[in-house]
Amino acid sequence: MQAHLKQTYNYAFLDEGSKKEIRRTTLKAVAIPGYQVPFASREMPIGRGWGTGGLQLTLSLIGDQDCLKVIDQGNDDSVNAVSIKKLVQSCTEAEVTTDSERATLIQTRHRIPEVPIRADQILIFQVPLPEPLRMVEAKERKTKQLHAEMDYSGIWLRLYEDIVKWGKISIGADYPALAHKRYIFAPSPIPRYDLPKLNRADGLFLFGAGREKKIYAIPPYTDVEPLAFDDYPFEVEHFDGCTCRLCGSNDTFLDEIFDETTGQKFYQCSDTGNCQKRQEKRHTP
Amino acid sequence: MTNANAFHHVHDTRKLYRRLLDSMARPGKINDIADLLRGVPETCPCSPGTYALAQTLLDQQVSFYYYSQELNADDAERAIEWTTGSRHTASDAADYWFIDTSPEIDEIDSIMQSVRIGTLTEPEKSATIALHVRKLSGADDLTLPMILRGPGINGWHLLSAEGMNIEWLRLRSERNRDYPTGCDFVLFDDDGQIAALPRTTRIERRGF
Repeated sequence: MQAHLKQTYNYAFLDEGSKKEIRRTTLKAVAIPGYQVPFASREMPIGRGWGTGGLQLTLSLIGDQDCLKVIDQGNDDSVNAVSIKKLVQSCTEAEVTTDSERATLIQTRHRIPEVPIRADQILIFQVPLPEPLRMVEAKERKTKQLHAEMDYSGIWLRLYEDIVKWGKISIGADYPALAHKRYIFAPSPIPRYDLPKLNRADGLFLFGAGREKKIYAIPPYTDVEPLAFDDYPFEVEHFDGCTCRLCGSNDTFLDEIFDETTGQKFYQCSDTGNCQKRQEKRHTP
Repeated sequence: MTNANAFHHVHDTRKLYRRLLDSMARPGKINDIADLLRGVPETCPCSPGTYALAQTLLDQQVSFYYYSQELNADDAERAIEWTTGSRHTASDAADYWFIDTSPEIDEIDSIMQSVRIGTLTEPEKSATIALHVRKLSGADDLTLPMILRGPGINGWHLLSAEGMNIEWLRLRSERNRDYPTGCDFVLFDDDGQIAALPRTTRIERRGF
């Protein structure tokens, strides 16, 4: 006789104890904007460093009424985004979408959707390195102390040295910013173009670092100021004269694509969901 | 046999958490949890709000302190311990406080003196106080109107409460003086309305 063992998991994969711990941590994180709250970070069926922090946040939030969008560098169709969506669908009845305006929860790696996040939406970031001071101090105990004392001279010096060496600040993605005039935090490797979207926004932003076991948050209407000097102001990426080859947009974040054989360069929207919608609009008169 | 309408430990705790998170992210915003409180067993010796919040937040990893002037306060403590696995502990060690009846002024004082506020290195090691008030409203119609400012609030937000002593606000601002240390408040009323006052929220009493 052959017995089929059907493996069933708890609703939303995580056990209730794990969810409670993540929820308690998230509430604390919201109460202290930009402060990295340690949490236990469970083993997930994907490897650490592949979005486990974001995934745990998503699973602690999601219910059957939710509609989930998962993006990877703006892309809905990358392997990682698709796998995460499949995992969530296999343990909840939640819907999935590629339309950022329909979604109630958006899990993202390295981009913020072009359409601003509304008050009824939550944006969940997958964070590889949550500690902005790690580039100037290797020890966790020391960086915790630096945050406690608001001693940010190390990171300011790093920015100053950049200007001396290169004439500008060389940090591209993951540009450090100050939350609620208190904590310097890492916005995860979003382009500088996306960083101003965190400042005094309508939506709630949650950050989960699974490997580094930290959760932090930027609540709505919270001051987020990119670190900059008076004479070297913060600048975002520009795409002057470039348009998306698919939807023709000239006001979105564009990826540069290089054709090896012809040597030609193309530009194309990084936010594929938004690009798709624009293309449909263009084709329906 | 299980009652289909009973408070569900997977789905109702999640729904409550989402509304609590919304209230915490938008201080003073009132969320309605009345539909979830209908599932709380009638025999429960604490208020339905305390029961539901305890089920959502507590487990064996954290401790709580329960305050009530009712005679069955001990039963309530035990009921929360039994249903959540959390331990009732000394007031100055508690992670979560549940204050079910309105204490006298000197008791508020001793509560606020013993509440944990965390340290500068670990501000998250602070307590959260779930405070039962009679009524909450977003208009200027109750005895304690408050004007809130800070993260999560676009400009200012009005929240008013009834059955909440103003002493709470005075001692709260005293304890929360040294941000990021401080304690966070969750308010819930008899009608199943909740609102939150995280430590970042600055409160002005109207008319001051």
